Amino acid sequence: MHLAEGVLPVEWAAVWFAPAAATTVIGVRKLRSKTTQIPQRKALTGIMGASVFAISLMPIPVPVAGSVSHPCGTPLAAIVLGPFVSVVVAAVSLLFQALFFAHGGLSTWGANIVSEGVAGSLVGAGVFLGSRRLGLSLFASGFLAGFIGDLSVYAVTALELSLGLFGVSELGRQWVSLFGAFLPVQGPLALGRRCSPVGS
Amino acid sequence: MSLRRIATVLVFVAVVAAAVTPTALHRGKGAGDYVGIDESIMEARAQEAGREARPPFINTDQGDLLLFVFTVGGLLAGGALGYLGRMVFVEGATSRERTRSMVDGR
Repeated sequence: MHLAEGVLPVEWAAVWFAPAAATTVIGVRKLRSKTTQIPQRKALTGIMGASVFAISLMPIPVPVAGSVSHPCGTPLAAIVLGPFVSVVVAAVSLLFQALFFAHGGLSTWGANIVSEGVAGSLVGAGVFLGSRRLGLSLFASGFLAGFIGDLSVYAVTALELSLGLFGVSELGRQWVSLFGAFLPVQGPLALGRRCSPVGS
Repeated sequence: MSLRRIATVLVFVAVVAAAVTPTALHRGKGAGDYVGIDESIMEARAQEAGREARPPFINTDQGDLLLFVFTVGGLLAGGALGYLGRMVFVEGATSRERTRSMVDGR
Protein backbone atom coordinates (compact mmCIF):
# COMPACT_ATOMS: atom_id res chain seq x y z
CA MET A 1 0.00 0.00 0.00
CA HIS A 2 3.01 2.29 0.33
CA LEU A 3 3.71 3.23 -3.29
CA ALA A 4 7.17 4.74 -3.25
CA GLU A 5 8.26 8.07 -4.70
CA GLY A 6 8.49 7.95 -8.48
CA VAL A 7 6.78 4.58 -8.96
CA LEU A 8 3.74 6.12 -10.67
CA PRO A 9 4.02 8.40 -13.72
CA VAL A 10 3.30 12.07 -12.89
CA GLU A 11 -0.07 12.14 -14.68
CA TRP A 12 -1.37 9.06 -12.82
CA ALA A 13 0.02 10.33 -9.52
CA ALA A 14 -1.90 13.58 -10.13
CA VAL A 15 -5.14 11.75 -11.03
CA TRP A 16 -5.28 10.03 -7.63
CA PHE A 17 -4.95 13.35 -5.79
CA ALA A 18 -8.47 14.36 -6.93
CA PRO A 19 -10.49 11.65 -5.11
CA ALA A 20 -8.03 11.79 -2.21
CA ALA A 21 -8.53 15.56 -1.78
CA ALA A 22 -12.33 15.35 -2.16
CA THR A 23 -12.74 12.63 0.48
CA THR A 24 -10.25 14.28 2.83
CA VAL A 25 -12.16 17.60 2.66
CA ILE A 26 -15.45 15.78 3.43
CA GLY A 27 -13.65 14.03 6.30
CA VAL A 28 -12.30 17.29 7.76
CA ARG A 29 -15.82 18.82 7.66
CA LYS A 30 -17.33 15.77 9.36
CA LEU A 31 -14.56 15.73 11.97
CA ARG A 32 -15.16 19.42 12.73
CA SER A 33 -18.91 19.00 13.15
CA LYS A 34 -18.53 15.84 15.25
CA THR A 35 -15.94 17.36 17.59
CA THR A 36 -18.13 20.43 18.06
CA GLN A 37 -21.01 18.19 19.16
CA ILE A 38 -18.89 15.85 21.33
CA PRO A 39 -15.48 17.33 22.32
CA GLN A 40 -14.20 13.91 23.47
CA ARG A 41 -14.28 12.79 19.81
CA LYS A 42 -11.02 14.75 19.39
CA ALA A 43 -9.22 12.46 21.82
CA LEU A 44 -10.81 9.37 20.25
CA THR A 45 -9.68 10.56 16.81
CA GLY A 46 -6.18 11.02 18.24
CA ILE A 47 -6.23 7.46 19.59
CA MET A 48 -7.28 6.06 16.22
CA GLY A 49 -4.72 8.27 14.45
CA ALA A 50 -1.88 6.94 16.61
CA SER A 51 -3.19 3.38 16.13
CA VAL A 52 -3.46 3.63 12.33
CA PHE A 53 -0.01 5.25 12.17
CA ALA A 54 1.59 2.48 14.27
CA ILE A 55 -0.37 -0.42 12.72
CA SER A 56 0.23 0.63 9.12
CA LEU A 57 3.95 1.13 9.71
CA MET A 58 4.46 -2.17 11.52
CA PRO A 59 6.18 -4.75 9.29
CA ILE A 60 4.68 -8.15 10.07
CA PRO A 61 6.54 -11.23 8.80
CA VAL A 62 4.60 -14.00 7.07
CA PRO A 63 6.97 -16.99 7.44
CA VAL A 64 5.15 -19.29 4.97
CA ALA A 65 5.54 -16.70 2.22
CA GLY A 66 8.97 -15.53 3.37
CA SER A 67 7.92 -11.92 3.13
CA VAL A 68 6.82 -8.95 5.21
CA SER A 69 3.86 -6.62 4.87
CA HIS A 70 1.89 -3.94 6.67
CA PRO A 71 -1.69 -4.24 7.89
CA CYS A 72 -3.75 -1.07 7.38
CA GLY A 73 -5.87 -0.18 10.40
CA THR A 74 -8.30 1.96 8.44
CA PRO A 75 -11.28 -0.48 8.55
CA LEU A 76 -11.10 -0.35 12.36
CA ALA A 77 -10.81 3.46 12.32
CA ALA A 78 -13.78 3.64 9.93
CA ILE A 79 -15.94 1.52 12.26
CA VAL A 80 -15.04 3.66 15.29
CA LEU A 81 -14.90 7.15 13.72
CA GLY A 82 -16.86 6.86 10.48
CA PRO A 83 -15.37 6.27 7.01
CA PHE A 84 -14.62 9.87 6.03
CA VAL A 85 -12.93 10.84 9.30
CA SER A 86 -10.90 7.65 8.89
CA VAL A 87 -9.67 8.98 5.51
CA VAL A 88 -8.32 12.09 7.29
CA VAL A 89 -6.58 9.90 9.86
CA ALA A 90 -5.01 7.83 7.05
CA ALA A 91 -3.94 10.96 5.14
CA VAL A 92 -2.11 12.37 8.17
CA SER A 93 -0.43 9.00 8.95
CA LEU A 94 0.65 8.56 5.33
CA LEU A 95 2.08 12.09 5.23
CA PHE A 96 4.27 11.44 8.28
CA GLN A 97 5.30 8.04 6.91
CA ALA A 98 6.26 9.58 3.56
CA LEU A 99 8.17 12.46 5.14
CA PHE A 100 10.13 10.76 7.91
CA PHE A 101 9.83 6.97 7.63
CA ALA A 102 10.82 6.30 3.99
CA HIS A 103 7.43 4.62 3.43
CA GLY A 104 5.37 5.93 0.51
CA GLY A 105 6.12 9.25 -1.13
CA LEU A 106 4.85 12.79 -1.50
CA SER A 107 4.08 12.37 -5.22
CA THR A 108 2.22 9.10 -4.48
CA TRP A 109 0.50 10.48 -1.36
CA GLY A 110 -2.82 10.83 -3.23
CA ALA A 111 -2.70 7.27 -4.56
CA ASN A 112 -1.80 5.92 -1.10
CA ILE A 113 -4.66 7.88 0.50
CA VAL A 114 -7.09 6.39 -2.04
CA SER A 115 -5.93 2.81 -1.42
CA GLU A 116 -5.41 2.81 2.34
CA GLY A 117 -7.72 5.64 3.35
CA VAL A 118 -10.64 5.64 0.94
CA ALA A 119 -10.84 1.95 -0.04
CA GLY A 120 -9.96 0.57 3.40
CA SER A 121 -12.37 2.90 5.20
CA LEU A 122 -15.36 2.76 2.84
CA VAL A 123 -15.16 -1.00 2.24
CA GLY A 124 -14.51 -1.71 5.93
CA ALA A 125 -17.40 0.45 7.14
CA GLY A 126 -19.69 -0.83 4.37
CA VAL A 127 -19.01 -4.50 5.12
CA PHE A 128 -19.43 -3.87 8.86
CA LEU A 129 -22.80 -2.14 8.46
CA GLY A 130 -23.96 -4.73 5.91
CA SER A 131 -23.00 -7.63 8.17
CA ARG A 132 -24.75 -6.06 11.15
CA ARG A 133 -27.89 -5.57 9.05
CA LEU A 134 -27.72 -9.24 8.07
CA GLY A 135 -27.79 -10.05 11.77
CA LEU A 136 -24.16 -11.16 12.20
CA SER A 137 -22.61 -10.69 15.63
CA LEU A 138 -20.35 -7.73 16.46
CA PHE A 139 -17.26 -9.98 16.36
CA ALA A 140 -18.18 -11.61 13.04
CA SER A 141 -19.01 -8.23 11.49
CA GLY A 142 -15.71 -6.73 12.69
CA PHE A 143 -13.85 -9.80 11.45
CA LEU A 144 -15.35 -9.61 7.97
CA ALA A 145 -14.98 -5.80 7.77
CA GLY A 146 -11.31 -5.99 8.70
CA PHE A 147 -10.54 -8.95 6.42
CA ILE A 148 -12.30 -7.63 3.33
CA GLY A 149 -11.25 -4.01 4.05
CA ASP A 150 -7.61 -5.04 4.33
CA LEU A 151 -7.71 -6.96 1.04
CA SER A 152 -9.54 -4.08 -0.68
CA VAL A 153 -6.57 -1.81 0.12
CA TYR A 154 -4.30 -4.14 -1.84
CA ALA A 155 -6.88 -4.57 -4.60
CA VAL A 156 -6.88 -0.79 -5.13
CA THR A 157 -3.07 -0.63 -4.87
CA ALA A 158 -2.93 -3.27 -7.63
CA LEU A 159 -5.36 -1.14 -9.69
CA GLU A 160 -3.24 1.99 -9.22
CA LEU A 161 -0.05 0.18 -10.20
CA SER A 162 -1.65 -1.57 -13.20
CA LEU A 163 -3.08 1.68 -14.55
CA GLY A 164 0.05 3.69 -13.89
CA LEU A 165 2.56 1.20 -15.22
CA PHE A 166 0.72 -0.60 -18.02
CA GLY A 167 -2.23 1.63 -18.96
CA VAL A 168 -5.89 0.83 -19.50
CA SER A 169 -5.32 -1.69 -22.32
CA GLU A 170 -3.61 -4.27 -20.08
CA LEU A 171 -5.55 -3.42 -16.94
CA GLY A 172 -7.34 -6.76 -16.36
CA ARG A 173 -4.35 -9.03 -16.86
CA GLN A 174 -1.95 -6.86 -14.87
CA TRP A 175 -4.41 -6.36 -12.02
CA VAL A 176 -4.94 -10.11 -11.65
CA SER A 177 -1.19 -10.68 -11.75
CA LEU A 178 -0.44 -7.98 -9.14
CA PHE A 179 -3.29 -8.79 -6.77
CA GLY A 180 -2.37 -12.48 -7.11
CA ALA A 181 1.17 -11.58 -6.06
CA PHE A 182 -0.09 -9.70 -2.98
CA LEU A 183 -2.43 -12.46 -1.80
CA PRO A 184 0.07 -15.06 -0.50
CA VAL A 185 1.40 -12.49 1.98
CA GLN A 186 -1.65 -10.32 2.55
CA GLY A 187 -4.23 -13.14 2.94
CA PRO A 188 -2.77 -14.69 6.11
CA LEU A 189 -1.88 -11.23 7.41
CA ALA A 190 -5.45 -10.00 6.98
CA LEU A 191 -6.67 -13.17 8.67
CA GLY A 192 -4.15 -12.96 11.52
CA ARG A 193 -4.98 -9.35 12.23
CA ARG A 194 -8.68 -10.14 12.36
CA CYS A 195 -8.06 -12.68 15.12
CA SER A 196 -6.18 -10.18 17.31
CA PRO A 197 -7.83 -7.75 19.75
CA VAL A 198 -6.67 -4.76 17.68
CA GLY A 199 -7.84 -6.42 14.46
CA SER A 200 -7.82 -3.66 11.92
CA MET B 1 -26.55 -26.40 16.41
CA SER B 2 -28.68 -23.62 14.94
CA LEU B 3 -28.73 -22.81 11.22
CA ARG B 4 -27.25 -19.37 11.91
CA ARG B 5 -24.30 -20.87 13.79
CA ILE B 6 -23.68 -23.37 10.97
CA ALA B 7 -23.75 -20.50 8.43
CA THR B 8 -21.28 -18.48 10.55
CA VAL B 9 -18.89 -21.46 10.81
CA LEU B 10 -19.13 -22.07 7.04
CA VAL B 11 -18.39 -18.41 6.28
CA PHE B 12 -15.44 -18.51 8.70
CA VAL B 13 -14.05 -21.69 7.06
CA ALA B 14 -14.48 -20.14 3.59
CA VAL B 15 -12.62 -16.98 4.64
CA VAL B 16 -9.76 -18.99 6.19
CA ALA B 17 -9.53 -21.16 3.04
CA ALA B 18 -9.53 -18.08 0.80
CA ALA B 19 -6.79 -16.51 2.91
CA VAL B 20 -4.41 -19.48 3.14
CA THR B 21 -4.87 -21.14 -0.28
CA PRO B 22 -2.76 -18.60 -2.24
CA THR B 23 -0.06 -18.87 0.43
CA ALA B 24 -0.07 -22.67 0.21
CA LEU B 25 0.21 -22.51 -3.58
CA HIS B 26 2.98 -19.90 -3.31
CA ARG B 27 4.96 -21.92 -0.74
CA GLY B 28 8.56 -22.42 -1.76
CA LYS B 29 8.41 -19.84 -4.54
CA GLY B 30 9.31 -16.88 -2.31
CA ALA B 31 12.87 -15.82 -1.73
CA GLY B 32 12.33 -16.23 1.99
CA ASP B 33 14.50 -13.25 2.81
CA TYR B 34 11.66 -11.22 4.38
CA VAL B 35 11.85 -8.34 1.93
CA GLY B 36 8.68 -6.25 2.27
CA ILE B 37 6.09 -6.48 -0.50
CA ASP B 38 6.43 -2.72 -1.08
CA GLU B 39 9.88 -3.51 -2.42
CA SER B 40 9.61 -7.10 -3.63
CA ILE B 41 6.38 -6.64 -5.60
CA MET B 42 5.51 -2.97 -6.16
CA GLU B 43 8.98 -1.57 -6.83
CA ALA B 44 10.04 -4.71 -8.73
CA ARG B 45 6.99 -4.46 -11.05
CA ALA B 46 7.65 -0.75 -11.56
CA GLN B 47 11.23 -1.56 -12.49
CA GLU B 48 10.02 -4.18 -15.01
CA ALA B 49 7.83 -1.46 -16.54
CA GLY B 50 10.82 0.90 -16.74
CA ARG B 51 10.13 3.04 -13.70
CA GLU B 52 12.61 3.33 -10.89
CA ALA B 53 11.55 4.26 -7.36
CA ARG B 54 13.26 7.48 -6.27
CA PRO B 55 14.68 7.92 -2.77
CA PRO B 56 12.30 9.88 -0.51
CA PHE B 57 12.77 13.65 -0.03
CA ILE B 58 13.99 13.12 3.51
CA ASN B 59 15.90 9.87 3.16
CA THR B 60 15.95 8.14 6.53
CA ASP B 61 16.55 4.74 4.90
CA GLN B 62 20.29 4.83 5.57
CA GLY B 63 21.96 2.32 7.85
CA ASP B 64 20.41 2.24 11.31
CA LEU B 65 18.85 5.70 10.90
CA LEU B 66 15.51 4.13 9.91
CA LEU B 67 15.64 1.92 13.02
CA PHE B 68 16.08 5.06 15.15
CA VAL B 69 13.22 6.87 13.39
CA PHE B 70 10.92 3.82 13.79
CA THR B 71 11.75 3.62 17.48
CA VAL B 72 11.03 7.33 18.01
CA GLY B 73 7.80 7.01 15.97
CA GLY B 74 6.71 3.96 17.98
CA LEU B 75 7.43 5.73 21.27
CA LEU B 76 5.50 8.86 20.23
CA ALA B 77 2.52 6.82 18.98
CA GLY B 78 2.57 4.73 22.18
CA GLY B 79 2.73 7.88 24.32
CA ALA B 80 -0.17 9.46 22.44
CA LEU B 81 -2.20 6.25 22.76
CA GLY B 82 -1.60 6.13 26.53
CA TYR B 83 -2.29 9.83 27.14
CA LEU B 84 -5.42 10.04 24.98
CA GLY B 85 -6.60 6.58 26.03
CA ARG B 86 -6.51 7.68 29.67
CA MET B 87 -8.41 10.85 28.73
CA VAL B 88 -11.20 8.86 27.02
CA PHE B 89 -11.42 5.60 28.92
CA VAL B 90 -10.39 6.58 32.48
CA GLU B 91 -11.23 10.26 32.96
CA GLY B 92 -14.18 10.00 30.56
CA ALA B 93 -15.58 7.00 32.44
CA THR B 94 -15.15 8.79 35.80
CA SER B 95 -16.92 11.90 34.52
CA ARG B 96 -19.77 9.79 33.06
CA GLU B 97 -20.08 7.99 36.42
CA ARG B 98 -20.18 11.35 38.26
CA THR B 99 -22.88 12.68 35.92
CA ARG B 100 -24.94 9.48 36.39
CA SER B 101 -24.61 9.83 40.21
CA MET B 102 -25.81 13.46 40.05
CA VAL B 103 -28.77 12.48 37.87
CA ASP B 104 -29.67 9.60 40.22
CA GLY B 105 -29.39 12.02 43.20
CA ARG B 106 -26.76 9.87 44.92
